[in-house]
Parts: sequence; C-alpha cells; structure tokens
Amino acid sequence: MQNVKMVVTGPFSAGKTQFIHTISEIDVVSTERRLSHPADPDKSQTTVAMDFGRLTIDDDLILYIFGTPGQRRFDFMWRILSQGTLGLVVLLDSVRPDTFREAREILNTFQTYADVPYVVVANKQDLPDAWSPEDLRVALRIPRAIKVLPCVATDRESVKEVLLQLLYTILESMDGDS
Amino acid sequence: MALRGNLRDFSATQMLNLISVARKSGTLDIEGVDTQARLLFNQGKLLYAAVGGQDYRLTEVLQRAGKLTEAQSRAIEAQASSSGDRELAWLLLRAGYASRSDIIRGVRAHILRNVFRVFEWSAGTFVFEPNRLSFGDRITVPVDLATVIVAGSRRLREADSFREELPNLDVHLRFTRGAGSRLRKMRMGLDEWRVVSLAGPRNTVREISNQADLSEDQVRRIVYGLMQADLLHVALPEEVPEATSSDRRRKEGARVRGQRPSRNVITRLIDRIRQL
Ligand SMILES: Nc1nc2c(ncn2[C@@H]2O[C@H](COP(=O)(O)OP(=O)(O)OP(=O)(O)O)[C@@H](O)[C@H]2O)c(=O)[nH]1
Ligand SMILES: [Mg+2]
Repeated sequence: MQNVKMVVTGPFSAGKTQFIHTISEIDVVSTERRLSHPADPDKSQTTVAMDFGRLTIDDDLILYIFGTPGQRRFDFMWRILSQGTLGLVVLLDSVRPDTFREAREILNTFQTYADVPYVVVANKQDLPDAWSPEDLRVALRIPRAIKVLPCVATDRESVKEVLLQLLYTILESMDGDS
Repeated sequence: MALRGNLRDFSATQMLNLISVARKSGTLDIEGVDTQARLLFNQGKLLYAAVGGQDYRLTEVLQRAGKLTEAQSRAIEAQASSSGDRELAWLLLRAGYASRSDIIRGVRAHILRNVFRVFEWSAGTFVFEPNRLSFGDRITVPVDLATVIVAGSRRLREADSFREELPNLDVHLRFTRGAGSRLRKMRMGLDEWRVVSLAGPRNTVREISNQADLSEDQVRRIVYGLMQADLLHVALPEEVPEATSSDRRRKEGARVRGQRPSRNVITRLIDRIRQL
C-alpha cells in the first residue's frame, strides 16, 4: 500500500477546510475551534491544528489531503506539512484584499524555499466582486509559470479541476527533470 | 464586477499597477480620510484625476499651471457659451493665449498633481468600476502609469512599506520581462536612472546605494517605486549567477523537498479524480 499526500494552504478563512471537505471520502478530521469574536458573521470556526482528508485511488494507493491552519500559524507548520508532499494548493480568498498581504508572504516563502510543485487558487469565485484570477496574479505578483485557477470550494467539479491541474503541473515538472 | 478594497491592505500604488499591467479601463474612486479622489483610466493609461470633487474648467487648470493670466482666463470664459473644455480650448487657440502643447502640458501637470496627492494617503477605501468612464467635456491626456508610480513613490510617507518590501539590502535585483522597452518610454529622475543602470546581477541593493551615493532609505524608496511599477523584482537565489557554492549549498539545505513519485502514481491519481 502506498500513501501520497497533497497540502492545501492559504490565509485565514480562504476555504481550506471547505476545499478538503468537498473532495474527501471521510469526514474531514479537523481541529476546529469556535471563534470568540468572528470578524465575519458567517465564519464561526477556525482550524487550529490541521485538516485531514482522504481519497482512495485504488487497491494500493491512497491520497491524503492536509490543510494548514490559518491565523498566521503558518510559518512553522508549512515546513513540516510540505516535507514529502506531491504538491501544494495555495488557496486565496478572492473577496478579501485584507488577506493578500499574508497570501504574498506565503507565496514568497514557497518561491524561495520550496521545491514542490504548486498551483494558486482564486477561491470564492461565486461571490459578487470576487477578484478575477488574472487580477490576483498581478496583485500578488504571481509569476507566469504558476497557474492561477478559478474555484468555488463548495463545488465538487471545481475542486476536482484544481486537483487535476495540480497533477498536470506535477507531470510537467517531471518532464523538466528528466 | 467592481474591485473593492482598503488602502491599508492594497495601496493606491498597487492598484495603479494592477490597472496598468492589466490595461484596464474604468473609474477608480478613492475615499480618503478627509477627501476623495476620482481617477479615470483607458487601456491602462491614466486619463484624468480629480481630488475633492473638484471639476476645474480648462481655463482654471491652465491658470493654476501658470500658463494663463487671470485676465486672459476671464476674457475667454466671457466669450464661451458653455464651460466645456473643447470650446474653451478652441477659444484659447484662436486668441493665441495658449498653444496645443501648452494645453496638453497644463492638463498633464494638473493630472499628475492630483494623482500624486493620492500617494500620500495610507488610509481609506477604493472601488474600481471597470469600463465606466465619464468626464463630461473635460480634456484628458493619457499618462503612462509606470511613470506615475515611480515618481509618486517619492511622495510616499510610509517608510514601513519600503522596509516591508525590501527588508534586506544584500539582495540582487532583476528586471521583469519587458521592462526594457517600458523603461525607454518613461520619464524618470536622475536618481531613478542611476539605480536602474546599476541594478542587475553585478550589484546588490547595498552596493547600488554606495555607488549611486544615495542613502539606504533613498535607495529603498526608489527601488520600491520601480518594484511597484513591476519593472524590477528581487532576484531569487537561482537567478543570481555568481552565488558562491557555499551560498548555494546553504540555500539548497534550507529548501524543502517534495515527494518524487513515479509517473505511474500521478496518472493513477489523474484517472481516479477524473472519474469522481
Ligand atoms: N461562497 C463561498 N464560500 C466559501 C467558499 N469556500 C469556502 N467558503 C466559506 O468561507 C468560510 C471559510 O471557509 P473555511 O473552509 O473554514 O476556511 P479555512 O481556510 O479553513 O479557514 P481557517 O481554517 O480559519 O484558516 C466558510 O464560511 C465557508 O463556507 C466558496 O468557494 N464560496
Ligand atoms: Mg480551516
């Protein structure tokens, strides 16, 4: 039996838990805690340690999907979580420019330190006034070589497409290596 | 689809760069702490800028720019049947009070003066409405936004943003793709040109500061403007050719390695997810 893993990261409230929940075949094992003073009335919980979802591929291959916690505890967690991962999904909240700064810090860290294929995801595209993937690319200075994909994390087809795009990126990076 | 935000999170400079790079057209309304501004764009160029609800007639603009006396301005306005700029311009040309280039330069100076004021605002909110453009009968002059950003950054108050963007001076800078042709079209000050000519793999930012005889904060400010205008960025470790091997080893050691699975594993994942 072989296990492989992917990691979903991004700023506070970007939709990481939702993304994993939408695709996982098990209930997301997560460590949510109620927010004592939610900035957003719809958001009552935040992830404090990490999320964890699973997808059985076939008789001897399982994909685990981990989600990092938001709330700026990212710096020490991401190293541990990214070690030995197939690839990373960096989720952005397309309607919250107040999280762009944190998103840029995350992206800068990857560009400097991570030899891991990744895609950037403009989540919550269903909301009015969502910034488009192309505007987010410019706003966050995401290099052309990195995909910025539109997504609605509550929609299974949309999440599937993101995972497929990440897998294609991983295949391309293998071509580059050989 | 409007773009909304707060200047604290996404600065006016960043917004101008987005409009420039994405070649957007529309109206940017900024609500500052005690005054507002309206900026109009076409295809990524700034066309008009008004602060505090002002809506100056061409004669007022030229008078403020020192290109027209008060008496000339009054005489022209008395002849005009409306306050539309086109008629005023025609009357000015006919009276020989201003040339076509006086008018363009005067309007351009007025636009720049207004947009530069916005750079001083660090608090407030903005809304960009794409494709909405209305400036009545005002004469507009297209202004290159990279020029505005580089010059405007000199007026930024917040030294914090420079330090945040460029915490470490011992880094190299790299020109972004297409920067060369954009730079040739820009109007920049001498200090900016010196920094541009020294940037690249040969010098770190600290070395640029020494060679150009600029203080660290001055260099930070200029580099910040060039970075905001998407002309330069900090080079990644692998983009610096002469990094010593020990440097490189140290950087390699700090890097996090992903899992290198077989191609077969990835294609199985793809097949399964497609079927979901
Ligand atoms: N409309 C919309 N809402 C979404 C989408 N994705 C997530 N949400 C909502 O956004 C809120 C935050 O989602 P979470 O999944 O908790 O975000 P998170 O990234 O796990 O948050 P932290 O763990 O606190 O960092 C929830 O109310 C979700 O239902 C989306 O694509 N569209
Ligand atoms: Mg969560």
